[in-house]
Amino acid sequence: MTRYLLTRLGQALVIVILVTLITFVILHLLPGGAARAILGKEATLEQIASFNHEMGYDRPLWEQYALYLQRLVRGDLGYSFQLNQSVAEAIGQRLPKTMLLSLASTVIAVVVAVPLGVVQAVRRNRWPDYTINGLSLLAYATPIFFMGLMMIILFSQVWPVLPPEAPQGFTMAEVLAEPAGLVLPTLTLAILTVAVYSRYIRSSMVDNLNENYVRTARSKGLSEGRVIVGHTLRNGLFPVITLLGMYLPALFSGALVVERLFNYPGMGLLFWQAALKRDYPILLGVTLLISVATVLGALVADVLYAAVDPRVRLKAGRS
Amino acid sequence: MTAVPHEEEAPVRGMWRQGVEVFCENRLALLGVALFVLLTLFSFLGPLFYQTDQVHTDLTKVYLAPGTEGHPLGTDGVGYDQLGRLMLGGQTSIVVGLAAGLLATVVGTVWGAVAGFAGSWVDAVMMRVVDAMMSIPALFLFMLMASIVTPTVPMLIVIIGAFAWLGPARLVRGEALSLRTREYVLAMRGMGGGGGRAVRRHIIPNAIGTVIVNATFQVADAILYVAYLSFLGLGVPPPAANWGGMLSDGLSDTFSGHWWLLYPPGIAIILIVLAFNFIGDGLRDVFEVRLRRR
Amino acid sequence: MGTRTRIVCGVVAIGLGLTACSAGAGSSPQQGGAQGKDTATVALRTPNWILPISAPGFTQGENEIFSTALYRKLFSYKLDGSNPDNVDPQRSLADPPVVSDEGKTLTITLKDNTWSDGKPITTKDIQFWWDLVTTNKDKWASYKPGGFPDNISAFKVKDDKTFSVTTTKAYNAAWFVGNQLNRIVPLPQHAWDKSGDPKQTFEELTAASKDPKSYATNPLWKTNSGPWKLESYVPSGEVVLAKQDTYSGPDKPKLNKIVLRPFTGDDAEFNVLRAGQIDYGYIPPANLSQKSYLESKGYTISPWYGWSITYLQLNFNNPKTGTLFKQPYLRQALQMLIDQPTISKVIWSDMAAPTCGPVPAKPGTPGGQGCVYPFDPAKAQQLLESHGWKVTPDGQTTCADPALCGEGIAKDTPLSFTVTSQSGFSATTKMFAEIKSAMAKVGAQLTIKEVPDSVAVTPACKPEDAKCDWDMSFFGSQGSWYYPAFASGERLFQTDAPVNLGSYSSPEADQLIEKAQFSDDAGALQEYNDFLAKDLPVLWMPNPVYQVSAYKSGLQGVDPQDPMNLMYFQDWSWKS
Repeated sequence: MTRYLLTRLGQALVIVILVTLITFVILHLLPGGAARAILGKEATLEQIASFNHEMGYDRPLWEQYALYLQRLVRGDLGYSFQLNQSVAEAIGQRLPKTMLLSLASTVIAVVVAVPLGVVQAVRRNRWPDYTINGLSLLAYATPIFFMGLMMIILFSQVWPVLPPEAPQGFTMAEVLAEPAGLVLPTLTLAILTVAVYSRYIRSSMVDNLNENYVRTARSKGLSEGRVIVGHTLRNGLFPVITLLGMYLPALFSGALVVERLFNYPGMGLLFWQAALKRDYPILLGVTLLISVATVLGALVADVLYAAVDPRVRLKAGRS
Repeated sequence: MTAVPHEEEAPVRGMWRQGVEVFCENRLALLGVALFVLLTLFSFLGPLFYQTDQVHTDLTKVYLAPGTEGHPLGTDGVGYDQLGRLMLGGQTSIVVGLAAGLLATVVGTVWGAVAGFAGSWVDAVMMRVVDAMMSIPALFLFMLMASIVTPTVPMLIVIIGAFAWLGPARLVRGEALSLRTREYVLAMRGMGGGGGRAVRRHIIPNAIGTVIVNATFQVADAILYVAYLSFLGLGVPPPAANWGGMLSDGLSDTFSGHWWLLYPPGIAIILIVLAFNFIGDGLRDVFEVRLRRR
Repeated sequence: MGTRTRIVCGVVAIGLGLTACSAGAGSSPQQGGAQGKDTATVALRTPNWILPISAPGFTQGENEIFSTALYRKLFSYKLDGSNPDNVDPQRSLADPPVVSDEGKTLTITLKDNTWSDGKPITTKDIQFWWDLVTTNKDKWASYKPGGFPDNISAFKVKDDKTFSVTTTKAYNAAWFVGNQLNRIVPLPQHAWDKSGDPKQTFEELTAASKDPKSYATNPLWKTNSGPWKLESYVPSGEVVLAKQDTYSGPDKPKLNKIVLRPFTGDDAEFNVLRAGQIDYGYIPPANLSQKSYLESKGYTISPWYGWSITYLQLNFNNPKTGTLFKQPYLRQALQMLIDQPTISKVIWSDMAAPTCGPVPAKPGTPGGQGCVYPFDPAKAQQLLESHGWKVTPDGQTTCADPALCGEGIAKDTPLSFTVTSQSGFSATTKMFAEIKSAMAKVGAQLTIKEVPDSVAVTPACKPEDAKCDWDMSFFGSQGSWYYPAFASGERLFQTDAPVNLGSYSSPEADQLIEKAQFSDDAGALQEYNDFLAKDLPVLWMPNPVYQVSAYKSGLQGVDPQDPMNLMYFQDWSWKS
């Protein structure tokens, strides 16, 4: 287990470093440069030069990258000229909000998707399976902003019970003080997630129902309910742990769109605004943080999975 | 020598027929094919029968309601006929979806096959790159890219293709890993066959099932990505139209009551994405059955 | 809804014009409705620069509004034509300047005013400002080499109340007062000048201004001259201004508090506006059809006209298409393909008016009647054909007779351009769809490229520069250019002017611009306008309003809104 853990940790570190490199290179391909975007069309060459110097943009790329890494190690994510704020501060304000949104919708998704997936697997190729499958595909096929808008129309226009906008509160306490505003964004993100999870759980359960041990259990005369709950569910749900980790990037992508639609001031919105303004430090910081979260999530999921299922760590150790 | 192909051909044809049978058993898959055919006909042949001016704007005829003479689905904010625009938009959406899906699949397949077959440190390096890119959420990457290059139709294909290949790469690499230890590949190497030849002749054809199924989903995802990018303000500028762009433009008309600018493109996207997902599910059945019976 | 951020371009009344924009970020709790009758809630992005000496990159409109609320400028302006040189005699800290020495010396006398701590505002505070900007001019956003303060040969303090500036050469007083003296802001010398060294003081002040967290607590910012004091400040969040009880000016605040609430975007703002939760906000262009709904909810809708013009920049230095743009007949033909009145009416829902020349029409008056080249595709086609072009409607028009097409235009040169436009503004997108279509009718092909920051990617350039491949650039979704009080063209259309992005150059225009700037001939500006209206240094485009404001009908004193984009909250009051 220790060896597995170390290998996975090492891999995660390499990935994070690669991520910093990739985003760094992509961002510096931007035409026009940040200086003009920030200083405006009237900026003189001197002002642009002095801005570039202050931000270190006039150094060779590799040197900028090295400096960036060096600062990162010290925990310094940089300073956003646009916001007149340090990147860490800006992210610190918004990260908890995105976490809340992602976490809440994931919990809802798991709670809904597990029973759905199980029902589908048990009643597979019959009408409950088809219906649920059809619905979850429908949810998957609907652009999430379109679905969100439908929710807004339904629940805040036609039947006005919920606000069309996420809480705009500055602190987490203010956000939590308006739980009604969180309902639509969370549900929108959760529906998409349910669609993905239930299909995955179904196939995982189907595989397990075909395993020999289930047949044995059945032949021993155990009731179908006990077979499912007692044996299959446990084994069939292990992979969900991995899924949680694997699904993180998609979840954050979804959060970006949902935050934009509901004007929820989280990381996604911060990123979107920064992208329009070429706010490099923010773009770098957000991308890095989201990626680290993803890598960490995947790592935790893998380790958990390995802890419950020894087959995995053996396999992983070999490859 | 002449007898060998014969012997191989028969089971191949049999497998084909069997595949079609399995596919047809899945009614949703058939529905998917029907939807795809219908939407494609609508987009590509529709304009032949229903001719509209999608080049010139007409500011005297903006926001006409559906049913206004000559405009069964009304007009948009610069006077384009909405039905005709849907056809035009469908062309872009379908072409971008297919092309980006194909590009992603090809790149991913090659990358994954090379990594899986080469193994050792080559594999490690190539797959860490995949891991790293995968850990950046796709939309974030697309936004970064789309703010660097100006989105045009070919550019969108490249952008989406350039980042959507990660999934197929992983899948194919997995297949390749398991395949490269198979006897015939080992045999070929023993006989002095080159690595490239092994990849080309054996690994790729064998992974083809996985790849085809995945490609179908890639197409569906690519169409959705275009919609998301449009929503985030990085879509294709006029007069090019695509369903995603039309849908996100239609959002601003929600409160103005111009529903015909919102729902038709929205439904069109849902249908085309559903179609590819249904087809993908059907194909998966086909290949799973094949594997099981092998 | 749409995808557009509120990109309120930084407009600086002190003559800076536009800067790149930043979307409103941040958040605030919803507190519902008019909070009693002594507070007004205003939708405004969080200002992020407090020091009244603007730093490059911090010249956005909200910073200007914020800093004028706390620190009065030496001169305030009013464009209604009621006062000489547009100086607002009420609000200004000094009497209008007295000109002597053949127009070279302006003597300014301060009125009796005090800082919020009771100390008088004297020429020491002007001198302090002067020392700070002259020793640190490279860090001052308003500084351009050769401009203020380089064009001042002497700055003299006569006594506590009187000082004078002497210019290197005689300027048109209207120009100098409107476009140079507008930068002066008396600063509290007694509170800020601890070291006596302007370089060090400037550094300290800048550092404090770069720490928004402490704006409301740092004692530095407690000594104000303006009608408001800062009560609370949350970075990227809500800002509360409270009435300054010791304010010495004549325009005493009528309300007790102004709450500046930022929104994450247009949609957020509009949703809250629809719900009636703010007292002063704006209707995003995409939602203009909701006007009557808001009116029924008790809002007054008031277009905020800017002292601005809007245009499509042409790159005369583009190695390929520059030779085309240099032909006046071609610019005229292109201009005749832009249907300004119809675009303003249909696409901008009447919230834009045609631009006809470089000097804005009087704010609020409908322009467009007198444009030199009105929309006329037939005439455009004729013009092209008479200059040797083979016009192929809906095809590709090419030059058939190089002798007629003009210098440097080879046979078969296609009439084909790419415009770099702004993304995120649906009206702009529609406008270019319309222009593209109109151009196609005479076989001129327009390719539209949309980027978030078109200004940044289309810099002024030399033909040999790599980045000189842009043909046309548009950045006027909220107006391309906002003028200071005197709308002269030395920054825009003079040869090598700083914002002459298309490198337009005409000796005659240069001469007229000089004249408007340096002679006291009252007709010079009109002459300059008439020449450029005809010469087309750029293509004139519909000029959108700065924003379509919506405020609670009980709120008085909001209108008229300042065309130079300042907000005077002190004038606001609730109808009792």
